[in-house]
Amino acid sequence: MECNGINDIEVIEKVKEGNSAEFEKIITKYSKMIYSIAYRLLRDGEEARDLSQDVFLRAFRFISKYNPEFKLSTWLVRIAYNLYKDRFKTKKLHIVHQISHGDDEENKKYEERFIDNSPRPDEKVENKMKSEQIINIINRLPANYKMVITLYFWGDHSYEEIADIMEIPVGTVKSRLKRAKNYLLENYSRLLEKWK
Amino acid sequence: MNCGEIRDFIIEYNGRIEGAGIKPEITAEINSHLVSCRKCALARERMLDMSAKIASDKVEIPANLASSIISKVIPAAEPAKPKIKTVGPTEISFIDKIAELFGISSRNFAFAMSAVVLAALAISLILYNHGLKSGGEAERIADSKGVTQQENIVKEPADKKFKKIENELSKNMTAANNEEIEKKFKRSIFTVESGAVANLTGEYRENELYQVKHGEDLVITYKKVAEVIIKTDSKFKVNDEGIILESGMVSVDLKPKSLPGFSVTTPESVVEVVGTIFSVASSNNKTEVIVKKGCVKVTDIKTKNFSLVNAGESKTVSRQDEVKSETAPVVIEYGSNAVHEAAKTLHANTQASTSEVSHTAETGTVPVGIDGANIKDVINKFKNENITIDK
Repeated sequence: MECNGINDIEVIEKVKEGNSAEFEKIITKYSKMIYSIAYRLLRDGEEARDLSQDVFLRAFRFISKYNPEFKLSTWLVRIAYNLYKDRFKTKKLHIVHQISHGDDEENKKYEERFIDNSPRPDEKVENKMKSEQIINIINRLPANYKMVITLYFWGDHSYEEIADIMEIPVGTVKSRLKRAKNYLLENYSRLLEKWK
Repeated sequence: MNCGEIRDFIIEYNGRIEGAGIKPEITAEINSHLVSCRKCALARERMLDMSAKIASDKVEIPANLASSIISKVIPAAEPAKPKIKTVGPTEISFIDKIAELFGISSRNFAFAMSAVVLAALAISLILYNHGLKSGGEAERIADSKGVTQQENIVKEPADKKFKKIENELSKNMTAANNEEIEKKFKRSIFTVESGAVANLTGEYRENELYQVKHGEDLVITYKKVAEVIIKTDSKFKVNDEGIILESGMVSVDLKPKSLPGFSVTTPESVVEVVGTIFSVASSNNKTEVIVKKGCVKVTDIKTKNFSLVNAGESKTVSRQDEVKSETAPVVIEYGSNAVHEAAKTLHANTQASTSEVSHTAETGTVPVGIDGANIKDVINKFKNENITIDK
C-alpha cells in the first residue's frame, strides 16, 4: 500500500476526516496510470483526460465506500472501467462505424504517410504501421475483452487483480484473455498475409 | 501433443516458451513440434512479434495532467457521506452502560424499554379515544343548550371550508417537511436501518439496481418518513419518486400526507400512496397490492381510468391479461372522517374502473398506474367526473 512515499490508507483516512487537500496526493500518484489505461481504451487524448478526471471525481465523492481490502489502484481502475463501459454504450454506434471503415481509411493514411517522403527508414515505418494495425485490431474488441487485454498487456495487473477490477471470476478472465489473444493473432496473421 | 495444444501454449505464454516456467519435458516436446510444424512455428513467430509490438505502444502523458485534474476535482466535489448506517461499538457500549446503571443485562434492559414504550403507546391510545368521546359529549351538551356548534367541522366532513383549512395546514407541514428532507437528504435519499444489499454494479447511484441479499430483509427509511421493508432477493431501484420494484416484495408504512407522490413501481403498475400501510409484490409478470390501512389508487396511465384499493382489500395486476380485485371485509382505519367517507364512496366506483383496467391490460400495451398524491386530489378528480360524495 505504500509507494512513492505515500501510504494510501493514511491519506484516505485524512480525506474522510475532511482534509480534501490530501486527495491531491492520490491524484498525483495515480493519474498517470489511470490516464494510460483510459487512453488505451479510448485512443483519444481529450476523452482520456475527461475519463481520468471523472474517475478521481467519483473516487473523491465516494471515498467512504472504498474497501481497504483492495489496492487503491484496483478500486480506481474499477471505477475507470465502469465509466468506460457507460461511455462505450453511448459511443457504440460511432465505434461500429469506425470498425467498418477503419481498415481502408487507416491504410490510405499510412500509405500516404509512407509515400510522403517519410524521413524514417522503411522498416521502421512498416513496424509502426504494424503496431498501429494491432492497436486497431484491439480497438475492435468488445469492451470486456478490450479491458482484459489492456490490463494484461499494459496495466501490469495479475489475473486476480483483473478479476477484482472487472468483478468477474479469475477463470472468466483467463478464458476472455485466451479468446482475445486468439482473435488478435488470427487478425494479425491475416493482415500480414494481406501485406505480403 | 497436437497443433491445437501447442497453439494453446503459444497463446498463453505469448510465444515465449523458453523460460516461461513450463516443465522441461513439455518445453522439449513443444520445441520438437515447432521444428517439424511450419504452421505452429509461424504462429509462434507472429505471437512473439505481436506481443512485442503491443508492449512497445507508449502513451504520451500530458504535462499538466495531475494539476489539471486536481484543479477540477478538489473544488468540484465533497466526499459523500456513507449511506449505510452502521452500529458502532460506542452505541452498543452506551446501551450497556445504561443497563449497567440499572443493574440488569443489556438484553433485559432492551426488553424493559420495549415494554415501557408499548405501555406508553397503549396509554396514549386510551387517552386519545377518551378525548374523542369527550368531544362527542361536548357537542351533545352544546346542542341541548342551543349553542351553534362547529357543525361544519364535525358534521360535514366533506365541507369545503374544513377541507381547505386542513389542506392548507397539511400543505404547509408538507412543504416544511420537504424542505427539511431536501436539506438533510441532499445526497442521500434513504438510510439503511438493517439488512444488506448486494450492490450489482459497485457504485451507489440513484436509480441503480440493487438486490437484497439472500436470507435477509432490508429495512430502509425513505426520506425519513416512510419505512420500507424490502423482502429477501428483491431487486429494486430508488429514485426521488419512490421505489422501483423489479421483482420481489415491498411493504411500506407511510405517515399520511407526509410524502406526496411516493410510489412503488413494478413492471406492471405504479402504486402511489395516499397515506397508508401497504405492500406490493411483483413476480411472474404480475403485481399484487395489499392495503392494510388507508387507501391507494390504481390508475390506468393511458386511459386515466382508476380504482381504489382500500384497507383490507388486495388487487392483482397481471401484465398479460387480467386484473383481479378481491374484497375482504372493509376496515378503514383513518384518522379523518372526511377521508373515511370519501374512501368509502370512491370505492363504489371501483368495479367499473377495474373492468376498464382489465380491458386495457388485455392488450398488453397499456401500463397500469396508481395516482393521487393526497386524498383531496382523489376527491376533486371524482368530483370532476360527476360523482356525488355521500354526506
